[in-house]
Amino acid sequence: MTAQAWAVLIAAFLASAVEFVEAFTIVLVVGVTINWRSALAGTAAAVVALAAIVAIFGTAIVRYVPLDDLRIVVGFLLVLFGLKWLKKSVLRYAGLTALHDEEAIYEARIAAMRAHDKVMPTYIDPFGVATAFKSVLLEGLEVAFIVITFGLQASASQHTSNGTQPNGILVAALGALAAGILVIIAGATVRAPLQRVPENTLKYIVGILLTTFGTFWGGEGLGIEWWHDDLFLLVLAALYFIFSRLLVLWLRGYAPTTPPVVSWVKRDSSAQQEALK
Amino acid sequence: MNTFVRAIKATYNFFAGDAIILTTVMLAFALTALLLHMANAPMPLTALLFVTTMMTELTATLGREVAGRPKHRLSPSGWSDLGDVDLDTGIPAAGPVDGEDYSAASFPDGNNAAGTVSDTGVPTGLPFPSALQRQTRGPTVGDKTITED
Repeated sequence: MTAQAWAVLIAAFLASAVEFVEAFTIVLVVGVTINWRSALAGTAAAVVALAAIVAIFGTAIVRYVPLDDLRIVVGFLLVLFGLKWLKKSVLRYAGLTALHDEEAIYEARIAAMRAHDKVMPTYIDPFGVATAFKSVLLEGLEVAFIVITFGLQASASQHTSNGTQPNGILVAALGALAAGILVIIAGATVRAPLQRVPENTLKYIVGILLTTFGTFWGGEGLGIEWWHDDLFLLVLAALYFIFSRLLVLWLRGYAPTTPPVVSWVKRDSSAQQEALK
Repeated sequence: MNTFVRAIKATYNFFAGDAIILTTVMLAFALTALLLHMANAPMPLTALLFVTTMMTELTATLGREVAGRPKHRLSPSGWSDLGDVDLDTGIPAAGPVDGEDYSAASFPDGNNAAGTVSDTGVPTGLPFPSALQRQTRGPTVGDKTITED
């Protein structure tokens, strides 16, 4: 497998892991509050819909969009998507937005679902199926987008470099599938929201990856010849990483501080803390 | 809002969700294409400009997020917060002081109200360490501390 194929596999795996963890929380809520039959039915329907979306759009785009235009479109979309994720991550790390907390989301969802349904039905419940379907489909759409864009670009690169049949979408889909299986196994083992998965970090890494690949492929499509070709991807990733860390440092000054008295107490002696009591 | 507009809005939110990102990325791509194909600009310069534009976009959208928010001084030199006093020197920082701080502040020498001055003549914002130490020790007569048994 080429270096670019590995990059596609890893990016698809990481992005999918984040989204699957989020979807898993909702499926778990439906399973616990309504029943597992409804939760699994909704999930299965969403997975089929997502596979169809990837197959139809992936095939159609490869067939009808010329390679250079494809690079520009894919690069443009990846930059948009990547900057959105990177912005969210920077805001979280700077303390301007709360960090994603699966347990808190789980508790809130459980409360909302219990408020809706009083008795746990044993049959397939349409509300449960719809909730599981909607959440898996919405979270999965981001995965589908990443699988399609990364897969298409990898296919295009491979096709032009050695004339073999494109298999980028398959590679990206395998990465997503591996993440899905891992999340399901972990979830089935702990039977609780997956709090230990470092979602915020993963989202940050994926944000950098998407922006890096988007810039690289978009630039290539426009006609830029990058210094040392694919190796420049590493330079771009490092640049985005360093720059985003600098942005986090800058924005930390704007983060809402803990109540001033508390921050003041933290910095001062125990005698002063006693005095404030 | 009809279904079509809703679908457009959902698509926009899915990909960008941010007018600054969308507009500037479009501009960056258009500008790069113009520079390369119309102006025949040097490749390294165009590439550098393309990457720099991406970083500027991120800075701009994040800058908008914090626009209007006060920047807190978090320097290790001892400034506690905007509007508080420097706990080491007792010099008040500029700006408003949180009302909670005033209610929490209490001085044995009575300098616990907004607009008053401490016994050093410096206007008070938050309790001075010296005042708090006195409060912890209890009121003093001469050099002796009066304690309650």
